[in-house]
Amino acid sequence: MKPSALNRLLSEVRDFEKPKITLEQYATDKEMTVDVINLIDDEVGLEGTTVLDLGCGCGMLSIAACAMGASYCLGVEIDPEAAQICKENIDELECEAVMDIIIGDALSVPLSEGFFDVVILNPPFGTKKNEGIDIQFVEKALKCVREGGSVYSFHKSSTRRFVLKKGEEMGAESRAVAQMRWKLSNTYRFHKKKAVDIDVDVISFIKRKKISD
Amino acid sequence: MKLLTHNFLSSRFLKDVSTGYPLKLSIEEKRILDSALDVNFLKNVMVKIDYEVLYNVAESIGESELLPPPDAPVTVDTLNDEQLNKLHRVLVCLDVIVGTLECPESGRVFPIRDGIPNLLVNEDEIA
Repeated sequence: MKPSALNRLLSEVRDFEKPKITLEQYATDKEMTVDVINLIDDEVGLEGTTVLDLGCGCGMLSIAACAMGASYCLGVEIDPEAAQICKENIDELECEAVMDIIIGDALSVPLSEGFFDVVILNPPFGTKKNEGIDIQFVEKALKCVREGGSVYSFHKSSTRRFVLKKGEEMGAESRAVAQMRWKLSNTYRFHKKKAVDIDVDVISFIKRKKISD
Repeated sequence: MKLLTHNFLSSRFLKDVSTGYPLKLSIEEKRILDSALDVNFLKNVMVKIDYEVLYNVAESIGESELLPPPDAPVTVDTLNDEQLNKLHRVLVCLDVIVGTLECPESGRVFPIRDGIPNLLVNEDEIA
């Protein structure tokens, strides 16, 4: 699918109505989603793959993956309201033959290990209260992806070295594949500054094959 | 919820539950989705799923006819068109809209509404 067509499709995706600060919810930027999904598609080829989206929210990344030809996509979302919006998006955009959602805690719901070809995730970056939660999401993603499969995750650029090191420790070839500037402007009313921009990396983790004797 | 998704869900995260698999499925409402058969996808998936669990859940809802029996490993290449279509139907097309999933050990019931299973539990239920 061409970026322009994907962009048009994603413009139909409905977003969070009342973002919840405790879950660090915010809408995933549509143009950015198009760029990221195209990048992933260039690198691994999404056609015919099985995809897992941990913390799928309203389903922006998942629906984009479906549009690029994924054969099966599972979204896991802890917030029932977001899952409901995601479900409506799936039906509206006719992805229901490809995509399933479950409501549950992405970190604790047992999922098939080594099943998925690709895992995409836009994890909470973590606050002082839940520091390191993004790494826990990556760890879970690496469990679910097959050997040789890829995990794509978003992280604050300021934590790049740490994230890459953790990825290597967890048995994945890790590298930053893109950097973007996010405007988190109008998501939460109590943000003091009008627009809060942060630099965000897309990190690719390729799960190393186990060496058999 | 597709039976493919059912195939890897468990309630192992519950307190005092050791495997919690497979979850017992009851269906109140379902639909059959329109989707083209993709043999390569079936090949990819069949080597990863627990086929006996798929067969048994299909049987429990009256959908096991034509499916290859689970007593021997199933090779997609050896299946005829009817069997391939049936496999595709139970894995991908059959969509549970309303029903429940029940933990085989604790009896904890998880609702399925609007096609979405809800596996959220209270903190005191988690191991």
